[in-house]
Parts: sequence; structure tokens; C-alpha cells
Amino acid sequence: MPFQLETLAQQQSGAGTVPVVVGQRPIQNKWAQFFSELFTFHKAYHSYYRLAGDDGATHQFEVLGDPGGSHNQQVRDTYGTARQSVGKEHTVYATEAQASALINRSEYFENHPCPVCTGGQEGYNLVFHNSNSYVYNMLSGAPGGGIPVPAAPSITPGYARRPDDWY
Amino acid sequence: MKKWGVVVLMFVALNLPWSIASVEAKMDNLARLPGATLLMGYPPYNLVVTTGDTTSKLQTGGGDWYVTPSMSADGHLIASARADANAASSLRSRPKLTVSTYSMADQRWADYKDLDVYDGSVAISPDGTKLACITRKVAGAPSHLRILDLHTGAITAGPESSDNAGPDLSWSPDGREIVFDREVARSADGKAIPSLRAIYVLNFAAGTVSKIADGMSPSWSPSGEWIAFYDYSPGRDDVKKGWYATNADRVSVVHPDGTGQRVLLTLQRDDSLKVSPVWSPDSKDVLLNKVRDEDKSTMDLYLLDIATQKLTKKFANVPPVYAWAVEKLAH
Repeated sequence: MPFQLETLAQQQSGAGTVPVVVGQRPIQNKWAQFFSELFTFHKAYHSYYRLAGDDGATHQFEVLGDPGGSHNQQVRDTYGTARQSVGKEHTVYATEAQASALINRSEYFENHPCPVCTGGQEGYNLVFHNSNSYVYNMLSGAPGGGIPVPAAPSITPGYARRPDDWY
Repeated sequence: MKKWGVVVLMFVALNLPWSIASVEAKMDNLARLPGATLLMGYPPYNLVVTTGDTTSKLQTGGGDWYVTPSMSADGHLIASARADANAASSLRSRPKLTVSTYSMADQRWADYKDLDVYDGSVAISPDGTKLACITRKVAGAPSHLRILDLHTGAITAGPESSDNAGPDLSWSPDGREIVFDREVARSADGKAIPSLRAIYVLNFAAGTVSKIADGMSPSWSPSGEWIAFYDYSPGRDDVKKGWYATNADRVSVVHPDGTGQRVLLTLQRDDSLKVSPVWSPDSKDVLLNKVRDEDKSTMDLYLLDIATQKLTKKFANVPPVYAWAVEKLAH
């Protein structure tokens, strides 16, 4: 499992002080869950991350579609709204520079397609390019050697490094 | 043969109107309950009221879902927040919103230009005379409770809070207290771990804030006797691997003084509910919004009988419902 080895290596290199909460909750889509359990015997999960900026404002970034329809999968800051995902959460630490870069780039992707979002380089799909790929790569690709990426608590499709233009 | 033809013809004739009505009901995909006025949608861009078979579309746009609106007990007044019409389509990052009320009788919005919010609850008091909301310097920044007197337009400040999320707000039936939730920081071995939320009651006259339970999304019953909320099953953390469960997977009630807490319903460990429980006007049931599809933000709606704890699925894959008033009062 090469991606797990990479995750452990990254965890060991983490030397930051800014907490970044990485969370995962089950994908609440009946068909996606049906096929996940059919082929893997596990539920599939959706990832997100949350952190506070130096202005004191907290953000939670995740890739979601438009409310009322799953179209337009984009990065959204859901913090403080009813859309904010809650699930199993793990705290990792980033340097101040990494946290700042993570917020800036996430906010950029709120208004521009991220590589795995609708309109991105590879387009969105439930198996390989999705919210989990976004979270994994925004953390692991952060400047200064990356922010440690916790191993997912369960089956999390697309939660792996992708060679795209993340920063 | 001719006899069978007549039977088939009669069957079709009798059932056709019902089939059409049923298809229409399904086509608009909105929750409806007999004798009820329900508030639903995805504000600040989309807001709908159903009363029996009629539908009032207060906002019909598309866009993100930031606001939790509310409705007075008589169903006459709705409180929400609105974006500048030009900003809605061009910006995906969160815009500043103006607190607004909609009169069902006048079919008109009233904007309160001095009161801006980014997200969260806009909670109107049951008698429709006041509303409470949360203001911030920027989205995600610490919250400030503000109370607006809808008759005079006067805005008063509530207690300051370091809480950056929410809170969900709900008025007591007499409008003298507000119940809300806020984050409670936690740590393990000297390091921060993901926070949970707790429920507090603010008494305006006494100026006191009292914690009454651990949990989130409180909702005060019209009878005043109970506060329904979502709380956390114990033992779901994987401490060794550092994963902590922050989803509230139970429905509980507690008296406003913090006594008599009891769990009404425990969902699956990973499940979560959205939007505070919605009380029926007679305080006998709560309507629960259980997420059906997080991407679409659609819900399965369940009715939970407080006395018997019987859970009944009422609607599948519909927009979230925020408030419930009695139909005859609403007109």
C-alpha cells in the first residue's frame, strides 16, 4: 500500500503548530453507498478539512454540489452553515506558512475549478477524482514538505496523491 | 368480454385523477402535512412555504445554502436573510446578507439594512415581534448575538462569544429566553482535539447564560416544557488512532432548567441530522431532517412522537424543513 507508507512518512515530518482538523463522514448517497458496500463491504467516506486563519476566522473546505442537485461540484467553505459536514475527525498540525497557503489556495478554488472539481483538469467522479482527492492533495501538496495527511479511518475512494496543479 | 372492458374503463376513469394528483405532488418534491404550514428550501436564494396543497415560492433562485430561516408561530411572518441580487450569481465565496422578514399576508419582503449576517440562524420569536441573529466581522469569525425589535427597529447586543460556528438559536414561547449551542474546546494529552458543542439558555431579564446539556441544534417546544436537540452517543472515538466522532447521532429532550434529559432516538453511529428539530404546534411530535444526499443537501423527513418515541418516515429526498405552523392560523 504505497499511499499508506507515504502518509506515515509525512506524519513523521510534521512540525507545525496550527491545528488542521481533517474529517470524514459517510457519503450520503444511496447508490454510491450500495455499490461501495457491494464491492468493498465498507461504507464510502467524504473528506473535509477545517482550520482558522491568522485573522481569527475559521474555515471548513469541502467539495460539494449545488444544494438541490449534485451539479457543479466545487470547493465550498461550509463552516457555520447547515451544510457543514461532521464526522470522525483527526487533528494534524501545519506551520503558519502552510496554514496560510492552504487557506489562500482553498479560497482561490472557491472561485476557480480545482483539478478534481467540475470544470477541472480531470473532472469529478465518485471513484478517482473527488472530494477525497481534493483534501489529500491540498494537505500533502502544501508548501514546505506538505501537511501530514492522516490515514483514513475507512474506505475513502480517491484519497490519494494526484499529480495535478494544486498550489 | 364487453363486461371486462367496462370494468377496465371504470377503473381507469376512477383512478386517473388520483394518479395525476399523485404525480403532481411528487413532481414538486416538497414536504406537505395535513393542516400544516411548512417552511423549507435553501436560503438565502431559495425559500418555499407549503400550506396543504398550495405552494408559495418566496425565493426561486439557485445558489449555496448558508442561512437557517424561521417562522412565527402563526405562520404569518418569516425571518431569513437575502443577498444582493447582483452578487448572488457572480460570487461563489460567501456574500454578506441582509436580514429580512417576509409577510405572508402582504407577500412582501422587508430588509433590515443595519443588520448583516454571513450565515446561521435568523430566529424570529414565536409572537413575531423580535428576531435574533449572529453577526461577524467576516465569515467564520467570532459571533455576536443581535436582537432586533421588529416594531421599533432597535437592535440590541447579546453576550459576545468566542464561538466561530453557528450557533443555532431558538426562542422560548414567551420570548424571554433564547436557547443556543456553541463549541466547547477539548484536549487530550495537552493537545487540542476536535471540539463538540453544548447547549445554553440565555435569560434576558436576569442576564444569565446557563449550560443545560452537551449537544447541538436546540429547539424550544411551543409548550415551553421541552428543548429538543441532537447529542452524542458515547464510545465512538478511536482514541488510539486519534479519530474523534463529532457527529450528533441521537435525538434528546431536556427541560429548560437542564433537568429531565432523556434520549428519544439513537441513529447509526455515523448518521447525522441537519437543522434543529422542528416541533409540531401541539408539541407532541418533532420533524427530523436526516440527510439523504449530502451533495444535493436533500433530506429524508421523519416524524418522531415524543410520548411513544415512534419514528415514522414521511418524505424522501426533499429540501430541508425549518418550521411548522398550524394551517388555519397561517391564513
